[in-house]
Amino acid sequence: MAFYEVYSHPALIRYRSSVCTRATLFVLIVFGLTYIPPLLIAYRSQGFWLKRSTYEEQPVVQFQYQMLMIGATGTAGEFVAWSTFPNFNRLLGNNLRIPSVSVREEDSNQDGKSDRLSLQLAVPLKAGEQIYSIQLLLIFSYQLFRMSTVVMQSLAFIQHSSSVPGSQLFISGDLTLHQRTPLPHRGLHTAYNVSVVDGASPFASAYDLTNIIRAYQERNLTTHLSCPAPVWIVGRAVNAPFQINAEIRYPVESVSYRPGFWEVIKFAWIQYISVLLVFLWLFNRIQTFVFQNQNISQ
Amino acid sequence: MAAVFCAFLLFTCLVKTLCSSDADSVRFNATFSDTNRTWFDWEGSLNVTERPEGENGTLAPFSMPAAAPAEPSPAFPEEEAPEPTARPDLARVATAALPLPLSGALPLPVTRASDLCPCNVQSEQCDVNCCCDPDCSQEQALFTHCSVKKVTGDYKLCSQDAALYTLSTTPEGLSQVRTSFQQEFNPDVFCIQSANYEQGMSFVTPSTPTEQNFDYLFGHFVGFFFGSSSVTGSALETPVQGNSPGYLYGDIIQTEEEAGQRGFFRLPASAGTANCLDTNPAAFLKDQTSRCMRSFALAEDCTTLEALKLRTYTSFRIFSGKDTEANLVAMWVEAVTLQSLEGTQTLLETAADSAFEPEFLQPADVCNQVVLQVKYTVRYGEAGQIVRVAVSFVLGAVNSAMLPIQQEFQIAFVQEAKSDTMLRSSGNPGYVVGLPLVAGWRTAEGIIQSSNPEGSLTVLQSSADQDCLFSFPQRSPVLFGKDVVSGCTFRLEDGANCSLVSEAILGRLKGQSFPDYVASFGNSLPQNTMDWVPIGNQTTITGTQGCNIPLSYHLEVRWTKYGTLVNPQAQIVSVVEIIRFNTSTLSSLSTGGTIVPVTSSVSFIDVSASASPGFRVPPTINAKLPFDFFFPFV
Repeated sequence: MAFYEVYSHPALIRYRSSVCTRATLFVLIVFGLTYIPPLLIAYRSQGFWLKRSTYEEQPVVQFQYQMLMIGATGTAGEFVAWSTFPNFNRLLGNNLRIPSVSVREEDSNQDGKSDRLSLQLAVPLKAGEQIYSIQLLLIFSYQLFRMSTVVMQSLAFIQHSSSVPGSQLFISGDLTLHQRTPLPHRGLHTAYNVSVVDGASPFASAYDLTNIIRAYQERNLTTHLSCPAPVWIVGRAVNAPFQINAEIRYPVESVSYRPGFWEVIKFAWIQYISVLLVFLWLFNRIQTFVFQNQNISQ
Repeated sequence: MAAVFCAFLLFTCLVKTLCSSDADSVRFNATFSDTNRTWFDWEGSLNVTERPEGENGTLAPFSMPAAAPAEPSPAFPEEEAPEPTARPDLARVATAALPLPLSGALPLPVTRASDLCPCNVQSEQCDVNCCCDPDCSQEQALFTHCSVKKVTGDYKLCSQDAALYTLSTTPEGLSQVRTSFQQEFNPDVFCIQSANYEQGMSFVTPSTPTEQNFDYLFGHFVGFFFGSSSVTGSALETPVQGNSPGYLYGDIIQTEEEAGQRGFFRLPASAGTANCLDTNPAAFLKDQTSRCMRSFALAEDCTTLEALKLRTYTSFRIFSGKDTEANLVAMWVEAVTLQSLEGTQTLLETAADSAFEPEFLQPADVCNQVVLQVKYTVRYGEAGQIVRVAVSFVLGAVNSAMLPIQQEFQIAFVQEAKSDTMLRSSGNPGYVVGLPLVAGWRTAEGIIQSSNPEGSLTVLQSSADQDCLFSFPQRSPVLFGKDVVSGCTFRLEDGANCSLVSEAILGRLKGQSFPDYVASFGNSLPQNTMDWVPIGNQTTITGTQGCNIPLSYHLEVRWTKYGTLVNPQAQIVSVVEIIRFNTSTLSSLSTGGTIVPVTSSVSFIDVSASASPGFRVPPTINAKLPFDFFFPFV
């Protein structure tokens, strides 16, 4: 006749003691050893408090239809320039050369965010003029929404020069975000929502590329055009204009931010509790062993 | 469990169906304009949405308008013209404007895959390799491939219509188009089984602009565009702020030109390139120095180019204030310095009120009396009134080798009725990085300072010909906190007088007037001689025999931080000049006429002790938690 287990339940054994005994002291010590060392272990093994995290977002980028172009038409410092800022054009005098510009922003996946900008710029040149170098400043409006709302104006600076005069510059690159310090996890950021180029200023210093770039690079958040392979087409017919073809994509950016209080607590709690479980099990066994064997008087 | 999952799936499908209804209208405020804008340039909007996955041209016909306006009927024979009464809001108000297609109403979108043919762009003509073009009958035999192989309906539907176009070859070797229509099934779990809200599959109908709602629509949809900048050309006219009759900081200074018309004070500057931009305005109370490049043809432009003439910079008169009854202030030519071709400058007596027009000297091919430097000093009184404008010039001779020339323009604003001797201190009290060291000579009653604002302690500046002995000396001031090195070379000729050469080089390294005291603070007063630090000397002459020539000159400035931790002030502790002479004999130095380099350098050494707390703490047990242990709480 075989026996089988019909039912089982754990038996509860109570050990009683007064306050000022060794058993109380032992329980207190075990309590402390159970709950405090996991905290120290979790902290000492680094990464306990999450201080920096990243998220991905495609920014809302819009070309602001503001640009500034400077092209060197000779080796002795002759140049032509143009911008969408009337004050700068007025300063230029005879060196003003108005190009024909065509711009299109495409939203290829119909999600409401522009994905790429294609820009064609044709600089008409007189006979005897050649383009040796070109500098082009494009101004964008850049917005991030997912964690903290960032609204700023940013730059793409294209600069290319060649010892051989050319007829076309082809640029295909990404408008990438650079940040020096992480963003906060919430709030509105409009500190950089000011004009990169002060178009209202009549002074030449406002349009000096050195001043513009210096002030721009001081910012925490900047964008720049990453274009590893600009293509310079050599040779130009006399009547043909110099052309700049630019294709600028707005890729998904990974933005780093400082996590908020509850996100920090969540990740710290996960780490603490996972170490604590081991300690709970261990000291539970120790306590059971000690009390079962009556090593301490209760 | 399975039932719960099924319910979840059902819910997801439902949500997807519902959400797709307004998927196109939910977006950020800043970006909706793009999507809606596609309605307005839809001549070209029959562009096939080529989905990147898959080589076939897959269409999303729900998202595009039905027809090119040029040919509404032949491509869509089944489509009935929409009744105008059904959409009264779409009836155009302004018939004179660009006509909407189908006489006043927008066409209904085509959703059937068999009716769509995106490559059919020529009306009543066959498009090559367009297999769905109904105009192609005979020409199909010449096709090599189908440019559009597959046209499908909405890819989000579980079952979608698909029109397939393939080419097959007849036994005669000619191509033949085979068209097949079929149902395709979407493997996606979350596809739309049935769309109960048909309008959700297409863009919302745009409201037609009328005279009433145009401003609203424009403000609602417009983003950035060319010419949107509100900056007009009127920035040169200073807006009247308040009742101040005088100029405010940054205001453009109004002038009256020679002919009587109003203008503004110009100070040529460069922007973007080094070329001079002549119409750069000068701003009130903004001290500016600009150096820019001027290229011109020597013979032609010497006497005609306005920018080279002295008169251009003096002929106008300045309004002393912004208001209309302001006085006119004339230019006062303070000094004219003539510069020769070699660079030597001679100060002219200004009493001789000659014209100083540029003149072209034909035989020498030299343009004389060209404006090289213009320095305005504007004196202003109370309430922003301009009292006096003094200008000093450097006019130089230019030959063709010196083109293009560099012109320097400077404007400085000085308050009237203050002491004329303007002493600029280099800090208050400690030195500020980038300002010149204050130096002077000690006499019995105190320290004598040079009135040169650039400071009297200067360092050799490297020149193009690199010659220590014969070139025109150019020196730059020693700026606090900036270590510099520069140098020059010399070639020892045989039989050169050693002591003379040594003296000349040392003079070139130290400058003509070398001070012997340096102020320990940026604003040390000359009468407090204890505030001044003598310049020590650590010259070591190693070679006793023969001739000693200085090969390097080093100025070592030791400074310390003084004062509180939050606002430390730089104080110069000691200044030592270290001159190193040649260690070998002169003959080996100049063997074969080699070029000997001589360097001149300045270094600033911070000798202050690192910051320590100003109070003594009793020793404690250093057992505390790391600083960021309770990071998010504190």
